[in-house]
Amino acid sequence: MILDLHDLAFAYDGRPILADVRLGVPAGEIVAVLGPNGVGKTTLLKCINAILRADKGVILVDAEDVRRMAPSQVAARIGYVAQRTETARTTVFDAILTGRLPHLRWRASRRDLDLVGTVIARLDLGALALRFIDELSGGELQKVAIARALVQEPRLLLLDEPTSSLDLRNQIEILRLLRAVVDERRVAAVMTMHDINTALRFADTLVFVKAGRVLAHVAVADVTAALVSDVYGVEVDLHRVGDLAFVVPMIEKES
Amino acid sequence: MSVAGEISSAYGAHVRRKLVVTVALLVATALALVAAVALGSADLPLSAVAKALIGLEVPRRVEMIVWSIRLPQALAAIVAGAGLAIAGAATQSILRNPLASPFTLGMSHAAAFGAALSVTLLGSGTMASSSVGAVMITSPHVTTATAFVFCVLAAMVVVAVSRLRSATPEVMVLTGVALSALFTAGTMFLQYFADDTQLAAMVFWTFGDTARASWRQVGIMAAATALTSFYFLACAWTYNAIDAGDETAKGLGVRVERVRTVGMLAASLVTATVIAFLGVIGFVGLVVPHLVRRLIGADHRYLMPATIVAGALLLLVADTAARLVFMPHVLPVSVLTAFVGAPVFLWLIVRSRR
Repeated sequence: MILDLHDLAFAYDGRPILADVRLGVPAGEIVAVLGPNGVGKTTLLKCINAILRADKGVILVDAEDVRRMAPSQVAARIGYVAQRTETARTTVFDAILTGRLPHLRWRASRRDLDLVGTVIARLDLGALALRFIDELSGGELQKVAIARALVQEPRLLLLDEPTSSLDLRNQIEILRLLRAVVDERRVAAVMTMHDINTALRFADTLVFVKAGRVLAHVAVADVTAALVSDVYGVEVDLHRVGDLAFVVPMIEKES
Repeated sequence: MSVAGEISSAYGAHVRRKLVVTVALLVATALALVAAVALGSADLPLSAVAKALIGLEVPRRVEMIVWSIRLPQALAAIVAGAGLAIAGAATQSILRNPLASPFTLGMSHAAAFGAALSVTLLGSGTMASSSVGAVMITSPHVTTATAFVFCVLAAMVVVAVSRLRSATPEVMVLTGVALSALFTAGTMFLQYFADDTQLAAMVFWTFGDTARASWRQVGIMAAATALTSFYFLACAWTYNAIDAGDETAKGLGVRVERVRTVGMLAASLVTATVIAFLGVIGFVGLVVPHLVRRLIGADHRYLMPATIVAGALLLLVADTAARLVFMPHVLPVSVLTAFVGAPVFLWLIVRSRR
């Protein structure tokens, strides 16, 4: 297991957000975390990389306790792509290079620069390498954010709604890329999502969160209409065509 | 060559260009220093100035003018310009606010109040009605310490307000306006209860002016500027991370709140030291980082050193111009920086609204 969560709980101002969360993610697996708005999906990601201090529970990455690590040690193991990324007058290359921060003393070594060059080439950002990031489109910017997390050389990638602001083509491109990286490097990824059909298409397993608890952690093949209906409180149909599964909400047409 | 190799070598060239710009600024500063010492109401031949600067024998009068009047003033401008500029760059970065600087956030006026309070109530200076050095700082450490305390106070208010979700750059500047008004009122309160001589001395003293700096004060300012510059340079990577947003920075292992607090303390230290000795010099900290960002971009590993040099150059040139424009009258440099800086500030506000 790359990620092992036991009995995780987090409260904000005395109000419980997450309770009794358990999750195990092996190498090579992409997990999509789904659930209604405000259910604690983002909070879960931030507890895993200790941006938020969980009130109790055990968080292990490669069997090491994240809660006992210094922030830079956590960052050397867990890459985080936040929902929003800010821009500045820095080049794409420089923005991605900051991903090396957990591994750096002061000077960026030849290896650091080569690593950034390789990831830029891998993500097809070569033509943009010396462009300023405040001139990029949403899709390009999201690629930069993912590239920054990749040069961190993490064992685990956390992505908070990586496709929410992207058009269809960019969504597919970003998720294909994630799939390829997870497979190539034998790392694991946990991403929050709203679009269940995209999750069914690109993730290996789905985690359904309801009222701060993990309702189910199931493989894509085991997702049922009843489960999805229970989580979102909406009647749905689940169709399967070959390996593909997709969910259609049943909305009665107003007459 | 592979694609990755091509990208790294193109990046290498991009970095070298930034270094060239920084070295050019450094050379320009050295030339401006010679010009600043050579030019003034007393005509000195350049050869005599050069000789005096490298310690060769020159007439007593030349030596006096160079070593006791012009050089300390020029060095004060260099050190203060560097210090205010780096403090401005740092506040802009850690608050993620293009309109931030010690002056626009009210920290400068807080420091000026602290220094005035120290001189009047703690007796860390004497006041007289002489034309130069109306206020003599007899105890520089007490004066700067008090200025620092009030500067930090203002800085902490700024940090607290910046934590609000609604804290746009404009809200932060309005906070600065409120703080400036408060501390200016404090200074006026002190002035109101001062006698005529003290009042004249204090009013004259609040003009930001480099002419009154003694060698010892230049030394103290240089120490504060060097210390904070070193700290800010060491933070270059973390500031780059904060550029991507607090969440991303935290994901990269940066303790954002701590970096922000310590950064504001460091900016307060250099601001308070400069202001305690020279008075309020506005807009240097605001404008210089913007100019440098336009030249070489926002990567703090290069932005910070270039800002230090550009701040020194700009204030030195402004100071020399302020001495020469109305010769034989000498203008305080703060008047000139405001004339140039205020329109730039307006332009930044208009641009940030778009």
